[in-house]
Amino acid sequence: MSLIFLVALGGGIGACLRLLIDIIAISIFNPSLPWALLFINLTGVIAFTLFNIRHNFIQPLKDKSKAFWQTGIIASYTTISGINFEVYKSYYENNFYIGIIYLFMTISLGIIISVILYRYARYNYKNPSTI
Amino acid sequence: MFNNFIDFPLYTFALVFAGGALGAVIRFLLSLPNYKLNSLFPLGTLIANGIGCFIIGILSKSSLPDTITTQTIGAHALLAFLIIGFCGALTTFSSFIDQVVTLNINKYTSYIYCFITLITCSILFLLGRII
Repeated sequence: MSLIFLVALGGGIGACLRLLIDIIAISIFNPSLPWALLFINLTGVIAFTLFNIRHNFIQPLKDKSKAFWQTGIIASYTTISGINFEVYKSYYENNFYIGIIYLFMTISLGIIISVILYRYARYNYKNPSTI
Repeated sequence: MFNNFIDFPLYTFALVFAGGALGAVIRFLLSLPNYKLNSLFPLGTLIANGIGCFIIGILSKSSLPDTITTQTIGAHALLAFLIIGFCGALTTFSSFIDQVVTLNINKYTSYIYCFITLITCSILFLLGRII
């Protein structure tokens, strides 16, 4: 029960954080391009991977910490539905190719960042992980 | 992500928090069987992402730029709760990327999982638009 509460609390915080960054980014960058969502998703990937590295290579996290930080805040902070929405919006605005590039750029950069962080951790912490 | 929400009132954060908490808990509950069955394939995350994209497909009909005005702030609040809060937190990019990178059942599982997620999310989003 306490895990569900922590996930809920983290989920609420993560969603609000995403909204806050979105608003700030819209006021700074060109709102026609979803830079905020890209930034949100990539920073989320970095944070999620760092938590996993800490858990797998340095010191295992407690279930409650994982529930609050990873399943709650970070997982709710990032979103796939928003990417789909942006791709469709680009189609709606006759910029579909930009939407497709945006989709593949987000996923490719996410994977590249995560792989680099895991490789760095494996190299430095010598954990017998198969990652 | 949603330019229309730039003028929203502060209580929108409360709605996004509530939606985020609900979305995160549902995602967590969908992922639980995975942990209990010790399944390597992240079916829970795939289902959560699919459901989120389907719902956002339905809701996006009423949130595209030409259909929302500042007069419909009530609808904004509901959309903020459902789209930014609930769907945003139900779907997750960081977990998806981490699973793609660390999924280690066999050589091609990561590619298959990535491909299935992209196709499933896109089809369900479009299905939501059609309904």
